[in-house]
Amino acid sequence: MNNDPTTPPDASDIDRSDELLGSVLRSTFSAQADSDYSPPPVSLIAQRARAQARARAVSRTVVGIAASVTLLAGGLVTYEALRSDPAVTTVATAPAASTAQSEASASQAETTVDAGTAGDAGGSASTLSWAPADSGEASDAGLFNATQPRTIGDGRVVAQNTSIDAPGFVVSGDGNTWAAVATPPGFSPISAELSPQRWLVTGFAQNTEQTWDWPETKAFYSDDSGANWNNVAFEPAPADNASLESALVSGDHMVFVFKVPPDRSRWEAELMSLIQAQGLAPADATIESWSLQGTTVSFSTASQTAQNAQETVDAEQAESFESTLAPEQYSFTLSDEALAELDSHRGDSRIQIFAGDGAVAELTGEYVSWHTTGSSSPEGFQIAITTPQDELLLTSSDGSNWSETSISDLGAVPEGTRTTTRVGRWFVSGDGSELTIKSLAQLQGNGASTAVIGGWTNLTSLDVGPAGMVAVGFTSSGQQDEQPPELQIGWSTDGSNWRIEALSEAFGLERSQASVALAVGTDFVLAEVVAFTPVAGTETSEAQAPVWYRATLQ
Amino acid sequence: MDTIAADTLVPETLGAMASKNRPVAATAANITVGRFEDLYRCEYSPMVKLARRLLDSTEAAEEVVQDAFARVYERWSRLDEPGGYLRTAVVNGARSELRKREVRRRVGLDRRAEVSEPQDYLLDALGQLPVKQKTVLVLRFYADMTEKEISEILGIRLGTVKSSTSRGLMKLRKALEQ
Repeated sequence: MNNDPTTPPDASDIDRSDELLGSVLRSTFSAQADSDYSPPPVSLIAQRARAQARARAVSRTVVGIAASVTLLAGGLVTYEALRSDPAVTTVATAPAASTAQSEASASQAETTVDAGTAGDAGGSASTLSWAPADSGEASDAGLFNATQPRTIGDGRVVAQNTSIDAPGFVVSGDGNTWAAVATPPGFSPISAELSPQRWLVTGFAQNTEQTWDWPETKAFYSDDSGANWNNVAFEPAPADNASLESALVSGDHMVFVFKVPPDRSRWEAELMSLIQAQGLAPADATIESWSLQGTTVSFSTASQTAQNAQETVDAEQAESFESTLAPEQYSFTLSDEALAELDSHRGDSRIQIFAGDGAVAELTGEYVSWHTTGSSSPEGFQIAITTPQDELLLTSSDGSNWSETSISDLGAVPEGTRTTTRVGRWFVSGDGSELTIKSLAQLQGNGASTAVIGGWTNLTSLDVGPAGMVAVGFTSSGQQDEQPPELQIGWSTDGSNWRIEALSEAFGLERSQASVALAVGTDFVLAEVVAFTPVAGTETSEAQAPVWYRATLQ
Repeated sequence: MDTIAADTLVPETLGAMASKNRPVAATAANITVGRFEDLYRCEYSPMVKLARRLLDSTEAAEEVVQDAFARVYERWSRLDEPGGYLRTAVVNGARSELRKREVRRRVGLDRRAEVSEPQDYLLDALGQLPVKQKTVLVLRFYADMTEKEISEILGIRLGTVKSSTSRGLMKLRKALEQ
């Protein structure tokens, strides 16, 4: 044993007493009281990520700031997507709903909401009068902490309930009174899609035992507002490792979009061949681990001698071998051509589309897709996918047969467009002086008019409901100072006449960047606002607690 | 009823970081992560536990872990091994916090060590070790990482891992003998 603290000991110095002390240390760690820690909602992580991103933008130039906010706008789309899949780890049976479907909406006919048909104001924008709303207000379901409001489209709005006591979803017909969406017993819901005819929830079966296996995705539908639920089976079963990306409902038709990870086996086999071809490692060596960073391949080997030794001794002896028989490390650089060849074997992610009207959803489509958005309307389903060759729009009235259209052929990106964003079934393009918003239906030529927001260059949030269209955006042109552009909120009942005011004025906030989630009901609009304020003396911003606002049409 | 799917969340198998019988982050090594939420829900608690061993504070551990997840979130579509990246971010975040504490302690701003209750003689002694030695020992004997994995996650040479392990254990032994 080397007792000179100034001289690093070599491997042989790891003696028996070190092993013993290590075992004691391991036991001490194990004996430490350690309960499981519940993760906060994933939306908070998204907010933190955005705060980090915002902090990096603070010190940039005017141009840099404008560019960053544009990226932020893009990031918001992703954020919005992730918000729809909350991290609910506490599994509990949701309380029985009273009348989850509000009286206000129960008698409503299903409303097709589109730019140009929204509202009945006849071309003049009504005024929205905002007032703080308490998302923790007592409701039929008891106290809850609602977040992430979404428009259902029939006058109601749905929100996620993050309450530990009753996680799940709540619906409201007026934005004030909420009722729980009852879910099946022993089920942990992740998403809820509600149509007037059918409610569809997806999630996971409750884990009764601690296991590392991720539970199977489950889907249930109800035609009586949650009183009874029916399981949906997928035939054939989705591919191994597939994850449910979207669950959509239109009338009593349901569509499920699963994303399937790429098959990496061929790529890995090619990489192993490249490593072997280098001749760096002895012939009897096996590759223990590898990594590829840029063009550099690093790998380590365990010699056959060491492996044989480990196989013939007991576990305790094998552990001691581990420290003395350290694996050899190698690295080499790939040429650009070799890297390109390797990348050609990476494989693509794909989606599997299942559809059904009842207890069984069948596979009705399979596509290579890097990026997928899905939406539904009373007329059917729209799925936009990005393939290696093109952006495609898949449409179907019932999910059984899909029509493919190249999105570029739809004219979604007109000449002279500087920015484009896709928010669900909405296509937003900007020419530097105004934003043009077109729905898929409009692009397909059904006659609905196009919405135009003058003066804006970027859109961060958009929602449409029976009462009209609400949007949050900003203009980055003509920015004179180093402050990020101020967010504005706009409201229109016809898509052409907009009432626009600064977010700070609408909500009585100090000028700040914010994330705004919107939902539109029959005669009200909800906004969940998360403001980001700079931390004095630092380059960071801090996400404030979400605040809800409710507006009624004046 | 618009549903916006997550942007280019290409699932990857976390095979490169796989290891045997590891109590911490075993899920990151063994599951296929399709979505950020899956990784988040599976790994949050194990990561907080790991960070807590390094920081001796649940509050600080959760802060570090949430920051690490935010980094993963931002980079999700570009990460080949999100589980490995996450673990590295957690360990590096904890090391960074430990270094700040050291500096604060040196200039007399941090009185945390003076007021904290001793929880265990061995763990107390562990808390007194230099950042690198403490980190290596926690990764070795709590996270059950191999020396090679520790070398990769900390970005230090294998020999440094070995010497830090040995020196850390030596100091612990002396502390116990006293």
